[in-house]
Parts: sequence; structure tokens; C-alpha cells
Amino acid sequence: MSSENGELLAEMRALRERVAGVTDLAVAAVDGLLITADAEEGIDTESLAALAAAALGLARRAGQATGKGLLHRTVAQFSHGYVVVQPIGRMGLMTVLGDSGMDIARLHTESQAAADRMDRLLAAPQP
Amino acid sequence: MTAPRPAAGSALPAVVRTDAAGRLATALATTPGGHPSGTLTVLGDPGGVFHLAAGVVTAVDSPGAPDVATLLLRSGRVSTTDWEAACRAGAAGDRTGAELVARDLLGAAELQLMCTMAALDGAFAVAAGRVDGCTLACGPTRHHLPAPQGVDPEWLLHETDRRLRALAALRPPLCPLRDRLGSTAGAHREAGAGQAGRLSGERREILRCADGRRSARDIAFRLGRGLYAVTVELSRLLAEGLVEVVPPASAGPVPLTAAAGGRPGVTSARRPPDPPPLHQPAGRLPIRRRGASGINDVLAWRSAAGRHRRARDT
Repeated sequence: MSSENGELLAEMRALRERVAGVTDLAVAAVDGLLITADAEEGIDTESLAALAAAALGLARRAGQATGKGLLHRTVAQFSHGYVVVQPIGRMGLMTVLGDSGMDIARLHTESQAAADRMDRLLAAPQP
Repeated sequence: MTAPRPAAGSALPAVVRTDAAGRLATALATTPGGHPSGTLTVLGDPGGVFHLAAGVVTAVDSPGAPDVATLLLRSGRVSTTDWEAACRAGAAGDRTGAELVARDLLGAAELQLMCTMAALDGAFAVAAGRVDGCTLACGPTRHHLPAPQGVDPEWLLHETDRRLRALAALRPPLCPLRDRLGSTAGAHREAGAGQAGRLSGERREILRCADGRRSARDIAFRLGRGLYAVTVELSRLLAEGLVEVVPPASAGPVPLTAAAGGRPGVTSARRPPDPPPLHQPAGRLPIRRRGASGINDVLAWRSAAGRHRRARDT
């Protein structure tokens, strides 16, 4: 494990610890290529990252077409939980999976700061 | 009040438990008007909302404990299709509960019991966590699935207090919201023993969910079972050496590194068809490789040519 991905993973785990109901996270490049994930076995995180990029792209286009401004995140709520996709700067995105009791208000509060820190990690030049 | 966070692997400090239950009791007991209607919002972690109608508690919602919908759906007691149909039919006028009974999905007494248990569990989760303060908003309250006959707030607090005391007495101690549990080698031996082992079906299910990433709260949501019941069962499994509290730093699988080639922990049959790039850009983002994401396998795109192909061409 590279130290950069170690720091990314630490950010993801911290977010999972802080927000009740967050079960899995994946960070990907903006085009959907997986960078790192903190997910249980059985979740195909590579496909998830690709789908998240597609979902974020669709939401962004819909927002642009209707003059809604800057996209903060997409939230999909299901009977058994949530799939939230949030941009990380201009280069990445984060997918958050949560159970049906996930504290969505706290996630909104915590995830932007986490995304900003992840953006700095992703944008930092390689040693 | 700002309470200290609990250390990993230990139950909440006694001061937090006492203060949380005390603040809740005070807030409920000192509500103006004697028999208020409204919402009592408890700020904290996980916090929650008590719904009050004419002095009785109709529901307690908290991210820390499964609500009635989760209990019914995750346990398989009610199918998602039936649930959605009942919700749609009962949406106007908050009649979801009546619809569930009318459709023979639940008995009237069972509905009251489920709502009472969910409210108890919600109050337990709120009180077992950190309570920063309470705010009461009086006025008509709406909830999609209130307890038909309500829950006596005095009894609710008394029972919550009893559960908190039981939680404090658990040996070894276990925090239902923060401690994450993994199964031990002894658990694998017990599972291998099958029916001859000590594991009943419910215990085996809980044990199967203890993957080192989940807390008692997470397992309760996963199985659609009450938080308190799962916490007590996990404490027993802990005492028997079948589960262990996993330190936060070691929770989770080995990380995945897309740019590094090898991907331990990834269960994917797909592999990137193109060789990895020879160099990396200035940042740490991986370089896009055609077909690497596997999106085409997931969505099964048809090509533009295929979409517009005329029938006689095929």
C-alpha cells in the first residue's frame, strides 16, 4: 500500500466511523476508474466506481440544462439504504454506501470537508 | 454538554449514560402544557427525534436503531412490494399502519408491539450515545408510522434506564454504536460443528455479520432486529470468545490500488485488457485505460451501429 492511498483510506475510514450507517466507500477518478475502496467483500467496487461516475455525469448535465448551478452530490435512496456520490474537486469522486438508517444530515456535514482533504491528497504531486 | 468520546473496545463512560438518560427525562417531564404534541429533537451522536401526540410518544427515530420499516423489511416479515403498496395507499393522512393491518400484513396488536419496540430501541440508542441538548417544537406532528396507541413516556424512560443499566453491567463491556466486532477462530470451529454446536440460527446469523467492520448497530440494521437484543447477544458471544472487538485502525480489508496493478481483496473476474502505462502524471490519479472500469459489462451497451441496424441487415 502506498502512503498516499493509506492516507486516502484513513480519510474514508474516519468518515465511516463518524457517520452512523455508512457501510462502504470508494474513491475513483472522475472518469470512473477506481483508486481505492473501503468496502466489504462481495461488492464489485470497480463497477460501482464506473456507475458512480456515470450517475454524477448525468446529474451534472441535468443541473446544467436547468441552471441549477454547482453539483454538490447525488443521493439515491432505496428501501434498504443509500448510494451517495460526491465530487472530489475536479478530478475525482467518492461513492458512499449506507444502510437505511444512515445519518444523511451528518454525512452532508462531514463529507464535504472529507472530500476537500481527499482532493488535496489526490492533487499532491508524487514524490 | 460535551461528553468525552468512548475509548475503543469499552462501553460508554457512566457519566454519559447517566447524563443522557437524565437530560431526556428532564426534557420529557418538563414539557409545557402537560400533554404536549410535537417533536423533541435530541442533538448528539447519534441523536434522534421523539414524536409526541397528546402526551404520549408515538415514535422515536434515530440513526442508531432500526425503525419499524427496517425491522419489517430486512427481516423479511413484509415484502418490499407489499410495503410500498401500503405506504402509497396510506400516504395521505398517515394511514400506513392502518393499511398494513387492512392488507393482513400485520395484526393490529403486532403493529402496536413493533412500534413500541422500535420506539424503545430508538430511545435506547439516543441515550446510549452522546446527548448535546434537546429542543422541543410544540404543534401537530406527523409521522408516517406512529404507534397506534402511543407509548407512555414514563414507561419508555423507565425501560430505557433499565436497558442502560443492563448495558453498563455487561461483562465484557460493549458499546452498541462504536465497537466493531469480528468473529474469532473459535467461532469458525463452532460454525463447523453445525447443529451440534452452541449456535442457534439467530446467533449464527449475528456471527456471520460480525466481519470486523460492523458494530451492533450495523448488524441490527443488517438483520432487521432490535439494537438492544443484538447488543446483548453480541455481549454473550464476546464472553464466549466467539467474537472480539476490532480496533478501529485495523478494521476493513486490504486497500485497493488501481494504479498499482495488484488488487488484493477485489473480487472481480475482469482484468484490464491494456498494459499499464509506463509513467504517471504529476497527480496521483490513475491513467484511464480502455475497458478497465468494466462499465460495458455492467450496462451491456449496444453499439450505435447495432441500435440503428435495419431488420433486413441482420
